[in-house]
Amino acid sequence: MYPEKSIYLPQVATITKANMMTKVDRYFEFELEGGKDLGHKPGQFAEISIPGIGEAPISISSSPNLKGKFEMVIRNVGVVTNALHNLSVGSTVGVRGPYGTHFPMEKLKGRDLVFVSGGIGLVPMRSAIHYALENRKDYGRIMILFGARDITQRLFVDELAAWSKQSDIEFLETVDVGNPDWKGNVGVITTLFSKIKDFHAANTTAFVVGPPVMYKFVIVELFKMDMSKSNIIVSLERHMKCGVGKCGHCQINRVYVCQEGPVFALDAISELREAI
Amino acid sequence: MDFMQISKKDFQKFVENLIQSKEEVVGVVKKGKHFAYDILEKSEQLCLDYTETILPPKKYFLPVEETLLKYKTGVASSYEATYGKSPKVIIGIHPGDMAAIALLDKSFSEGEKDSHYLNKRANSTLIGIYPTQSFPHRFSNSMIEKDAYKAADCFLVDLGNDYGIEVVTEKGKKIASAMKAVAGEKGLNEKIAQAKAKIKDEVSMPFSRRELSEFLHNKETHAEWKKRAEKCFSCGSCVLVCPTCYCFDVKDTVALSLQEGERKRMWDGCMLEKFANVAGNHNFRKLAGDRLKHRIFRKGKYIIDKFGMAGCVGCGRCSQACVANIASPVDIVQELKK
Amino acid sequence: MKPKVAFFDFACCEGCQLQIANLEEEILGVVALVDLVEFREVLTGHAPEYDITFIEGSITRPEDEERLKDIRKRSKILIAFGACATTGGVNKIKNLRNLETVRKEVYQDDWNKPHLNTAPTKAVDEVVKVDYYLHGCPINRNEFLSVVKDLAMGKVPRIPDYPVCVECKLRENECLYDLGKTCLGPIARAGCAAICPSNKSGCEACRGTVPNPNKNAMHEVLAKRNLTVEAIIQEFTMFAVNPEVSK
Repeated sequence: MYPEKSIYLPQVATITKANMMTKVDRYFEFELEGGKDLGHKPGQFAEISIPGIGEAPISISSSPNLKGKFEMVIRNVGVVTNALHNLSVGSTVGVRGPYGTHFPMEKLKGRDLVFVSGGIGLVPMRSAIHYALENRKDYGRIMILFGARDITQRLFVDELAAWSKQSDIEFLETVDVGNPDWKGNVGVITTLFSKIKDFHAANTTAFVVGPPVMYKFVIVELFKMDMSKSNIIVSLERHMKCGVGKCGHCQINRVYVCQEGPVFALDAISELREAI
Repeated sequence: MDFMQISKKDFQKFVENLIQSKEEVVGVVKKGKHFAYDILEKSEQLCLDYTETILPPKKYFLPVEETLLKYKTGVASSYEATYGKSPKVIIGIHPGDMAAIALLDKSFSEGEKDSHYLNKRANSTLIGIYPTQSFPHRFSNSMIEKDAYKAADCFLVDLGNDYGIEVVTEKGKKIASAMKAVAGEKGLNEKIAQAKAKIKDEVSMPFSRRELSEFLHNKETHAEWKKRAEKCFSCGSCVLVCPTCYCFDVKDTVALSLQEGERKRMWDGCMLEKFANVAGNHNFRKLAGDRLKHRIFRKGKYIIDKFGMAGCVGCGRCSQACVANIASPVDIVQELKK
Repeated sequence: MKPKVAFFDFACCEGCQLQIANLEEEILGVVALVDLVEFREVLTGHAPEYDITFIEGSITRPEDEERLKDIRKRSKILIAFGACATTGGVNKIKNLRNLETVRKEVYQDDWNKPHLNTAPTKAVDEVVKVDYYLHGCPINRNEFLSVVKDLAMGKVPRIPDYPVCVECKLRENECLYDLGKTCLGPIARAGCAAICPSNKSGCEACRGTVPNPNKNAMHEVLAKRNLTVEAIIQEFTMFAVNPEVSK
């Protein structure tokens, strides 16, 4: 018998908190057996499963510094995520991971950071934002740009409100479609860039996570602000079915996103035609 | 590498004894007008004088459908890994298929080790054979170089009344001694080399595999992809018969009682329309031309760049299986060259 | 509470329901999961409402449309069951010709009697909303069981959207084209475990086509096999695969 244990065998986690954030997005806090840490880094994902239903790759939303538990926000888009939405506190799930590359927070010490996320892109981004805020003095300016389709699609609304009041964060927010109750900016996320003052491209790293359609437009905007490819970091969505570089579903050209991604520096993938 | 020799009669006796010993022995058998790997019930079934099998022997290590985990429905603590069985011996693997197994060995042991594959692989002894019949689509010689010897335990070479044996591994030594093969007479290795060269490929890739990888660079936007794909059914036949394809889908199935179930993986293929779908029905390879290009790049570039091994072993099955007659990697490269 | 399940039939041979009646041992497992409340072929009961309704047959008379609409109103989930229901099936061949001619051919002197009235054939989804499709002539029992299990667990059933060639290759069949025969496997929807090609009989696409069938390529392949235009149309016509025949 080959000595290695199965790479497809999950650990067990218990749901310790769960609540709906929008009509389709549900927040979860999980605890691994024995209160172990998941051991992830900002930007990584894990495979969450229910025996009998299936498995799905989900971004981790909490900072590694949240000890003994981890958080996710799961959008109801398929069989597995739908079943996860029907689970409540006390239920157990399978967890494999963490998998994939992470935001290089260590290497970015001393730099200005601009976090650009659209919709559910805020979920993996939040792990990096939390990490940066927990180590606030390691970084220069922290700019958070967030766009949602409309006010019902906003995630982590209490945190958004707190960030908007925090003096050491420059927080800009927009919704694509306005509403009489919304007093803020209306328009796609690229309309926020002109509001950033005294931007120092050479000393800034941009993080971009959002729906597939968002990347092209945001990247063009960042180029206009003199950002170079090597200072733009993206996280790409693919269907990482196995998470371990075998099943092929997440492959972009030569790259297995579950292994060499989902977090990439833009210059590392600019020759991959299928990436963005 | 040692060179040995056995008469065909003695070899058949050895196969018969092996079958009688209740070990699972797999070999190439006739299937209608074609050939397939199957469990041997008697040694007469074994047909080493064959063109090409419908599916490659990878099905014994990466089965069409394979249970990875068993569980009680909804009970995460009940997950339990299961490991399938593989044949003790597989007889009659052509060098191309052997090179493909070497690639699968690499892929399933690189990084995260896939014990479901590796367990089965470790259990089997692989006896190869150099082709004795030409197959109109085969171009292995231009693709595989020495990769076949990374997986084979031994190779047979047809010398008329005898088989010459190239003994590659310890397992190969063991099985050669079990078949009572004898040390080769003087000049056996020359005779083997001559016999190996006797069956020539009828088509060939105009490049070495390294050159092919470089050639494909910057061919991504070539008009040929779209043009050729106009005839593509996206039926997946070319990738489902491919010995170097190892992509899979994962699915949970439960018993009719709903109380227990299995997580299974099954063969999947990047030529199928929905392969690169993500949530929200967004498809990253929506066009048949993009999928065709991905297949050829994977075979001709990505794998050699990543593992230094052949991503296409030139077995010719895809050309044979394609009803639209557009799958041949040689034809495609010839068109791209124009 | 077990879901209430009903079966109804319209213009069909009832062969798909027979597949269920013939499940033998597994039928016990099915009735453990669901409450069969209406199934003319095996029991006599009726119920006012259903959680899951299976509709077999195509819709060929105006009064059938009304009956189907009434069933739809009383059903939470409605499943088109078998080729006649999912695509119109063999019954749709009728739509290729003039209705009067068809009636005269079948009913001869009685063709004009009111109870023999007929309209162009419709698939179930041409009359009411269909939630899921169980394709095939007849349906595949294993697929039926997997749909029942999925629904009982609250899962969306996975209906194959890939072609028959996939299942045929996985069974390591000799390709019928290599044996000089023709087959619609490259464009036909799978789910049948390639039962016809496995028995050396060309696929007639009883499950309809995959979502984006390459029909031009199929025409070309068949033409290369020296099929006449008529023969090609015939290949495409049996189960309403021909765009001129299907809706």
